Amino acid sequence: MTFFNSKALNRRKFLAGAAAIGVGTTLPLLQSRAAFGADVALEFEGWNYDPEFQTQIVTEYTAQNPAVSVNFIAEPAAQYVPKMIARFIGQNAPDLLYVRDQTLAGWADAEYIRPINDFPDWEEHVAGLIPFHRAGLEYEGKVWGLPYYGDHIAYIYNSDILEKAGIAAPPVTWAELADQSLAIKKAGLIERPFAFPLKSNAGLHWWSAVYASGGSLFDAEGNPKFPDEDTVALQLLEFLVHAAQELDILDQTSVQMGTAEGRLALAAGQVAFASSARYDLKVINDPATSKVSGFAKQVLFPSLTADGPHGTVGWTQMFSISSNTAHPDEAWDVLKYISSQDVAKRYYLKNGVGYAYEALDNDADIAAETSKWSDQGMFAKQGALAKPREYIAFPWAAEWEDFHMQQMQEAIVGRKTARDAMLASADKAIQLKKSS
Amino acid sequence: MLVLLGLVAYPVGLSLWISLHKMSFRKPKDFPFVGLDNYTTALTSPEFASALSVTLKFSLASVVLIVAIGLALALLLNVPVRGRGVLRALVLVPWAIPPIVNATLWQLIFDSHVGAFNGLLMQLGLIDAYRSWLIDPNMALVIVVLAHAWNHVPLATIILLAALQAIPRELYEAALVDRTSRFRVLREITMPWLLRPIMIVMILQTMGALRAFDLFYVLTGGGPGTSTTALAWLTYQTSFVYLDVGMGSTYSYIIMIITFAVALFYIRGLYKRGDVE
Repeated sequence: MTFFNSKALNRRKFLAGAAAIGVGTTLPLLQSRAAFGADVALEFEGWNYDPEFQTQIVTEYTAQNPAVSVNFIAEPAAQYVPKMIARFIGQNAPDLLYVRDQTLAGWADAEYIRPINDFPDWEEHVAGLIPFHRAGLEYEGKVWGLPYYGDHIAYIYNSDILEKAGIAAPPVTWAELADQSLAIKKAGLIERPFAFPLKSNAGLHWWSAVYASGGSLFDAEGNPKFPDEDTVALQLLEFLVHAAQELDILDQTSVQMGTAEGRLALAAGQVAFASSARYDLKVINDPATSKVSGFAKQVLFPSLTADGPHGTVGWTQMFSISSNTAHPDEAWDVLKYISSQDVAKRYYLKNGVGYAYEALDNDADIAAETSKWSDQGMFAKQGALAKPREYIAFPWAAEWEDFHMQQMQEAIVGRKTARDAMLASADKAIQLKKSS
Repeated sequence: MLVLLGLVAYPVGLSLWISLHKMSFRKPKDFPFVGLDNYTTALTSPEFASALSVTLKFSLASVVLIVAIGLALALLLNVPVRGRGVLRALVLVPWAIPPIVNATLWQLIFDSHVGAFNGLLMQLGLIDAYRSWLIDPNMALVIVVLAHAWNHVPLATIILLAALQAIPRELYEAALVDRTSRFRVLREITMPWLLRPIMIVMILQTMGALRAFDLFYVLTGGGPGTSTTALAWLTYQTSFVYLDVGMGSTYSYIIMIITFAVALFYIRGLYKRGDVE
């Protein structure tokens, strides 16, 4: 007679059996936990760019620090912000997390994350950072984390196409770029050789163009300076409209193009000029992922006039500690490890993703790696001209930028004039600022 | 009952409560009561007016197309021909495709560099270079309507086909004896019997079209400009990108009210015909 077919299967036996099953399944876990020896379990969450690397780093950390276990979870990048906010609201945030530059101000205001200034040795961990990356970690006079990575928007051209069109040097101004695009078109190489990402989440490229021509969109209080107080934005949009509608040199898909689509268009040889994240050069110059391997080169971001200043947008993504962690000291210890200069260097060597440490600019391994797919000198030169978007701390920034990109699209497809689009965008900024 | 209250009534009630407050996940501790301010702001904003216009155009075009094609296919599949069973199975295929896959499929078809639609037009000699169909503000909405209709026509076809098969054969036999023309048979016998199922298809499809989101998300992202920014897309952007859940809940309620009003309109139509007790 077995346990289950026994007529005597009463409540007591059922409970005893359930308890036995419970103990039987839990005990091995408890034993393995004890064997592992971790006293503190931390959750670490980020978006899904190379999660294997991050898992490897935390595994190394836990091997050196057996009293702490760290579970890294990678979320799809597109859902990362709403997912994290849901966790913050539900008081269920991970101990450590990635923080995007656009969300820093909002998450700091909402007290979702905690500043690192409370930890005794924080200053020595931000001392060697490139100034603009150091600034990217700050908000309201406090430092909110340590760098994950940082980079800038690069202007990229296809040297092979330029050579075939008889063009000796890459463009310095937008006017030169238009002339070269017309030459490429005339040579029958590419019908529309120039792309400008204008999708709603591609504002980085627009800001880079504005900075490259010495423009500014907002004052310190968030009042729009375009289209008349600072005319750079209007002139740039007028140029893009002219390139799309009259010169017919702007790739038609630009209005649907984000950074990823721009990179793919460059790698497929569909365009000769486009901006992209600087680290994308590694992929665009990789024969396994590109048709134009070896021909994608970086040049300073074109401007309206030859005297530049050819600036661009730079950004810093960071690791932070959530406010509600029960183990802030252990989280800080992990944070220092995962954002160390050594890890940043390894990340660069693996993925080409930019670093925030000044010392790495002169690192021989970094220079050797960069030379395989880019130009370290140009990287440093353009990087020195990079700065973050000036509106990023305004709570209405994301909504305004989406609206602004929609207005740009309306102008490019001919549904509005450049000036009307800019005026509508400025009005929207004023309205959002007023209601925030 | 408790499960229903917990899973349906509570979230619906909570979102109504949120829609009466200014609430942003950027500042979760601020939760001031604003009454109907969010509704006033929504109904007077140009973004809302534009999104409503896009939604209504999309819904109208989709419902007309789905009912027309669904009816035509149902009539065709009701004719006794060889292989009818296979055809009936084939017509269901688009319905079995998840909406997000359907959207990706149509994105590939209309791709400006490798799209099959461009390839077809080139082979027919109708265009001399590939075009970016989805960047044309007028074409973009047409393509979304086509993709939506392709996915939803099978359901309409099946409902109407079932209704066709329920029509008594005696009526057709009597018409045959009277040598009534095919058009008159359609007008006097078939259509009156189909009116109620057509109304049901229209209710279902209008509700689906008013809430359509995935196609806009994958195919156009609401663009170019605001040419395909429908209410559901505006709600998503407001709630999950701008994190303004107060306003996002307001938009959700407005969509619900519109859907409810349209359903009532159709049901009143059925009442007038005496089909609903």
